[in-house]
Amino acid sequence: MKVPTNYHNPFITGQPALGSDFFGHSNILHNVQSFLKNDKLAHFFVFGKRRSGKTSLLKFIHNNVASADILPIYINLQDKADFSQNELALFFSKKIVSKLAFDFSFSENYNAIQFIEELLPKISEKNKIILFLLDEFDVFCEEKSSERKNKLIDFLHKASQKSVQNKIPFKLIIAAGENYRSEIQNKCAAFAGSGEKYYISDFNKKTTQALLQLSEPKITFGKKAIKKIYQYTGGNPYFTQCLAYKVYDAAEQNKSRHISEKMIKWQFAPTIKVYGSGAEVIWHRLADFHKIILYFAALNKSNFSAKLISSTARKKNINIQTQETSTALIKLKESNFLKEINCKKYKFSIEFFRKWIILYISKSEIETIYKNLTTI
Amino acid sequence: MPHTAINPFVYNSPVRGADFISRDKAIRRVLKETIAGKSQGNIWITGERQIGKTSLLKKIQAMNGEYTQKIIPYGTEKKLDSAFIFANVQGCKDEDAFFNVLWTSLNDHFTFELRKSQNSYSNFITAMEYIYSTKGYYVLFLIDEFDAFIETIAYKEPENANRFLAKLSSLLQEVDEIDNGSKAFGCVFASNHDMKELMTENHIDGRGSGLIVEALNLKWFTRAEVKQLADSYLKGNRIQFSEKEIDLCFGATHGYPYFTQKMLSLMFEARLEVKSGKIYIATVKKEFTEMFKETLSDWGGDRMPIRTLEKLKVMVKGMNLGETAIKMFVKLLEGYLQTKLALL
Repeated sequence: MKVPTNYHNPFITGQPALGSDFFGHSNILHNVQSFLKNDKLAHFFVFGKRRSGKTSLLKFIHNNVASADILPIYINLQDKADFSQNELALFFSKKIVSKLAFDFSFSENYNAIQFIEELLPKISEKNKIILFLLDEFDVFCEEKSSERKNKLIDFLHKASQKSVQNKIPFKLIIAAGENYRSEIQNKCAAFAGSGEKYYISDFNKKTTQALLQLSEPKITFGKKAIKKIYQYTGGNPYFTQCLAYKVYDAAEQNKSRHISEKMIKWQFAPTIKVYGSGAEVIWHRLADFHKIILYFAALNKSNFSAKLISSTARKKNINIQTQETSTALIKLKESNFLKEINCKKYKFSIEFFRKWIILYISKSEIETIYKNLTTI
Repeated sequence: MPHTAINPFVYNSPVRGADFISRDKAIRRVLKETIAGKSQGNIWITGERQIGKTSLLKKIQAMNGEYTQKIIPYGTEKKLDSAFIFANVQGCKDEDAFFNVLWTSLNDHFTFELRKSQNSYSNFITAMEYIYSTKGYYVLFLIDEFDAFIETIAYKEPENANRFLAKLSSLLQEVDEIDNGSKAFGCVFASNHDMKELMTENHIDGRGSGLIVEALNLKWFTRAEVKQLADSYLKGNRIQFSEKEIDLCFGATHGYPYFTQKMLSLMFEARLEVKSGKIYIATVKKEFTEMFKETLSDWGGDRMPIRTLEKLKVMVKGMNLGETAIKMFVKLLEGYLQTKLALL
C-alpha cells in the first residue's frame, strides 16, 4: 500500500485556519486596535453564524496583536459551561497570574469578588493590556440555561465594568453564534448592548476567489468552477474550504491541473457526506419549529413562500399555519439561513445546508419533532 | 499444491496481517486527513457491526514505526514523530474511565514513568504534555467503540454526554498546557452509529461548535472484493471456490464483511463434507439462514442503529435464501425498527 506522506492540499477543514490561510476579515485588526486604545470600553462582541470562522478570527487577532504592551489569551469556553462563578474566576485568575508571572496567593475560598476587587487592579501594575479572547460564549446562553449560567455572564459583565471604572487594562473579545444574538441580548442586554460589536459575514465572491487561488500554480480553479463553489456554499468559510479541499483532492488523484465546473458538481454530494458534521452542528442549534420549516423549505429546489411550505407540510400530515410559517421565515432570514429573493419569496443562503437536510433529515425525524411540539 | 483443509476464514476476531484486504483506500484517507496533510483533523469511521472497523484501526496501529514521515503540527514549525495509539473504550462507564483508558494505552506504547494522581484527566494531560513536548510525538488515537461509551454516559442523563463531548472537542482544538495552546493530538473514532444518529438516538444536543469530524463510511465488499478475499484466503488450499460459489456468497451477504467471511467459512466446511452440488447449496443456505437469525438477535436487535436495521432490511430483501426466510427476516427487522422509532 502506498502510504501518503507530505500531502499538500492547501485547504483547511480540520482546524481553524491560521496565518496566511485566514481570509476575509483582516480589517478587524483596525477595530480591535481602536478598541484596545479606548479606555471607556472593556468588551467587544464578535457575532457570526456557526462555521463562519469565529475561532479563526480570534486566533488571527491573537497572533497579530501580541506585543510588548498587549498580552492576548485565547480561552475556549465550550467546556466551561458547568463552571460555577468562582471556578471561572479561579480559572481566569490562574491564567493571568501564570502569564504575567506575578505573585498572587489564592485563598482556599477564592471567589469571583476577589477576582474583581483584588486581582484585576493588580493588572494595572504591569503596564500591559490583558486581552481575553473568549470563544464559544453561547454555551452560557444555550437553551438549557440556568441561574448558574446567568451568574457567569454577570461575572464577565462586572469584570468588564470594573475595568472601565478603574481604567484597568483588562479587555474581553467575546465570540458568539449569531443565532444566539437575540438570546444574548435578552439575557444580558446591558452587557451585550454596551460593548463594541463586529459581525462576521460570509466570504464575498472576491474573497472566495482569493482563497481558491491557494491551489495555484499546481492546480487552478476555472472561473465557472469558482462561481459554482460560491453558489453551493454561499461564501460560508467552512463549507468553502471543505468543497475546495475535496475537489483539490479529486483533481490531484486524477492528475488534473484544472478544476472545472463539472468537477465541482461531481464532488458536491460526496463533500456533504464527508463534512456533514459542520451542518449537523447548525441543525442541532435550531429551534424545533425552525427545523420543520427548513425541512419543508429544503424540498423546494428554487424559491419558496410561506404558503408553499405550509401546503407541502400539510400534504405530509404536518399542520403548520401560513402565518406561523411566515414569521419563522422572517426570523430565519434575519439569522441568515435564508435570503429573500423578492417579496416574501425565499431561498436558502447556503445550498450546502439545504442539500445536507435533504440527504440526512428523514421524514420520520420531522414527524417526531412535530409530535413532540404538539404534545407540549 | 498443499492439501490443507484448515478453514482459513476469520469472522470472530479482528482480521490482521495478510488476512486484511480491501481497505487500503480507507487507510490512505485516514492518514491524509489526520497527519499527512496540514489540515490534521479528526475522523469518524462508521460501519455496521463486524464490518471491519477494529481490523482497520489495528492495521493503522501496526504502522507504528513504519510511518516515518515527520509531522508538522499545523500553525507550528515543529517536526514530530507519529504514534498510533489504539484504545477500546466500550467498557468505560464515565469520563474518568475514558481518560484512564487513553492514559493506559499511551503508557503501553511509551512506557513512561510519570507520577499518577487520582485525577485521570490531569494524568492524561501530563502524559500528553510529556509525549508532545519531551518525546516529540504527535499522537493519533484510534478509539474503538466510541459510540458504546457515549451511549453509556448518555443513558441516565444526556447532559453527561454533552459535557464530555464539549470537553473532548475543546481538547481536540488545543491543549492549554501544551505549547501555549496547540492541537496536540488527533482522533479516529470508530462507531456503529454515524454522529448524527448517535446524537439523535440518545437525545444529545451538543454544545457550542460541537465535535467537528470528517466522516468515513466503511463500505461492504463488492463482488470483486469478495472474490479477491476468497482467492487470497484460499491460496495454496486444495479447496478453491468457483465463480458460481462467489455468486452464491455475494447473493446471500451482499458483501457485508462479517457475513461474507461467515458464508465463505460455511461453504468451506460444506465442501469438505458434501459431495452433491444441490445438497451443498441447500446445506450452505440452511446453515447461513440459521446463523443469520441467531446473529441478528445476538447483536441486540433493537439496540442496533436505525441505519443498520434499514440497511439489513434492504439486504435481506435481495438475499438468495428463499421466500420464507426473507419474509421472516423482514418481519424481524421491522419489529426492531418499530421499537427503535417509538423510543425517539
